[in-house]
Amino acid sequence: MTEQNIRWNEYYRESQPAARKRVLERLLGEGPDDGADAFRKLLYKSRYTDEKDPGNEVDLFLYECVNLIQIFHMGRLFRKRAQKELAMTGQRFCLEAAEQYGPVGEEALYRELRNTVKRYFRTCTSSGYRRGTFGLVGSSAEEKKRQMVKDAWEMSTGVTRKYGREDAFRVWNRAVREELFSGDPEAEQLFRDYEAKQADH
Amino acid sequence: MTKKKSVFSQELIIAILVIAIYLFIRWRNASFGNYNTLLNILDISYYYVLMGIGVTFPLITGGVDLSIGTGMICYALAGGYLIRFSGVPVWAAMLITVLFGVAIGAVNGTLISIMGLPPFLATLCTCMITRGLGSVCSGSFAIPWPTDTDPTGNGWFHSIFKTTINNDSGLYGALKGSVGALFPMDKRLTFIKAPLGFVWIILLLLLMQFILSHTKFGRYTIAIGSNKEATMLSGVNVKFYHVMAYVVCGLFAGLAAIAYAAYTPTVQPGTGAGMELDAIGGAIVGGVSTTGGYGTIYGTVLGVYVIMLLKNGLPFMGLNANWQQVITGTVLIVAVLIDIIKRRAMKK
Repeated sequence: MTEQNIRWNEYYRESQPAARKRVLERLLGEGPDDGADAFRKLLYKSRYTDEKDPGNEVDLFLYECVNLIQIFHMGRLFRKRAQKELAMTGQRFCLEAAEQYGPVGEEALYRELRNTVKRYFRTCTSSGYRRGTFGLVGSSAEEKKRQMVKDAWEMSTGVTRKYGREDAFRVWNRAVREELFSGDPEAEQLFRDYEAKQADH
Repeated sequence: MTKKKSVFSQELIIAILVIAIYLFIRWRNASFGNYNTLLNILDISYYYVLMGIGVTFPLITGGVDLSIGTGMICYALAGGYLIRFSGVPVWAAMLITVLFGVAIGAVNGTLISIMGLPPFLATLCTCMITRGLGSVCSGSFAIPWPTDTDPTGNGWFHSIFKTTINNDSGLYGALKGSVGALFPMDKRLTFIKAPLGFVWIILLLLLMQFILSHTKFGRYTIAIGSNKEATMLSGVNVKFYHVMAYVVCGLFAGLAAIAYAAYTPTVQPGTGAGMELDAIGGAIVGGVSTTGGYGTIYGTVLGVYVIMLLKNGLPFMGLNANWQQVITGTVLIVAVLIDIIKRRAMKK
């Protein structure tokens, strides 16, 4: 890991938008620009700014995690709509903009997306996450993990493969996989098993 | 890499199942294919389908609404009472009926989303409340809505669901020719009743499917069922949209009350319990996930028709009407089990 990457660790570890803003502003003022500072500001703006209601605290990247699962489940009747929405998600993630900043831009994007996925995975441990049968039955930790792996596959490999956008979303797919695998070694096996099962369907 | 893709979505399988069940019962008893039988099944199905469309929204959020059956009867009793004993015009009573449904839906939504009550418990309580309220509204007496032959002309609302076409109409010849070829009808008839309600059902299906898949409300409803906490942290007003899912359910229970009043000669207080299971069962048969996060309106409508055909086809196969309850319960268990098994298999 480069010195620049280590400098930004604090920013990418933090999950609360307000705290991240403070860290971002401090780090931008402190150190030398590695060429991706403007892009980090752009990512922050794209992720946390509600253009219609600037006072509203949002995490639009986090919403895209949920939205990508919905796009994955869209029927064939809505294929064009799904492709359009996937392209919009790509724009929201600033996938194309990252290319202008070269490898440092891609690294900044990758770390931002991992931060997003980490926040999503944290929500998967809540008591309300996918309760069974009309909300009557709570899920066990094991069931939650399996559901989380399913979500991770659908929001990354699943949806991008379904609509032929794996290459455009490669940074996103890598961020989801590596965040999932880093948290729990068993998750990697579950992910591979789920992927193999999907290929058989 | 994908080796092979499943050609059949669950909804398509259900559509094939609807046709298969219809053809099977018709094969066992040719009179099941009569135009009048079809018309009767459609008449009965309207209020179940309307309840089904509505309950799809709470189901997708990961909840349920058990109050729609008794609620529907309660709203119909209230509306009927206003027409019969308060002199309220039919259109106003219909509006109040629907608004009553919306109000109970809002109560359900508030109890579940804002007060944090489990959906099953909250709606079970409102189920009892609406059952009691229906009896209170009607003084425990059965209330008839105006019939379609009502001399005051108040029975006009029946024509929303079923309109009469006489032999002066060019449409009559076209309908009798083409429909009659598929569903045998009495050639001596000088008029036929056209199931206009089915047209409304198709339009509502398209409208609600559009709302579910293409509007902010629909997408947030699915998002809540998919991952409520992530949706909340994203900045979505989860409480509001969660309440709205139940409001929509109440709205459709109100519409179902009007369809029910148009179908039945009198609305009986104390009835309605169990009707919600046909609607919920239909939604689950049609592919709505019992854990929330996935479902379609067209799947629900098809699922309700599977149950309607099974229930109404039984007498044509020599089984008595008591078997209807057995069939409904069995279909519901099988549908929920399939959903659970499917989820387990996908995650293994």
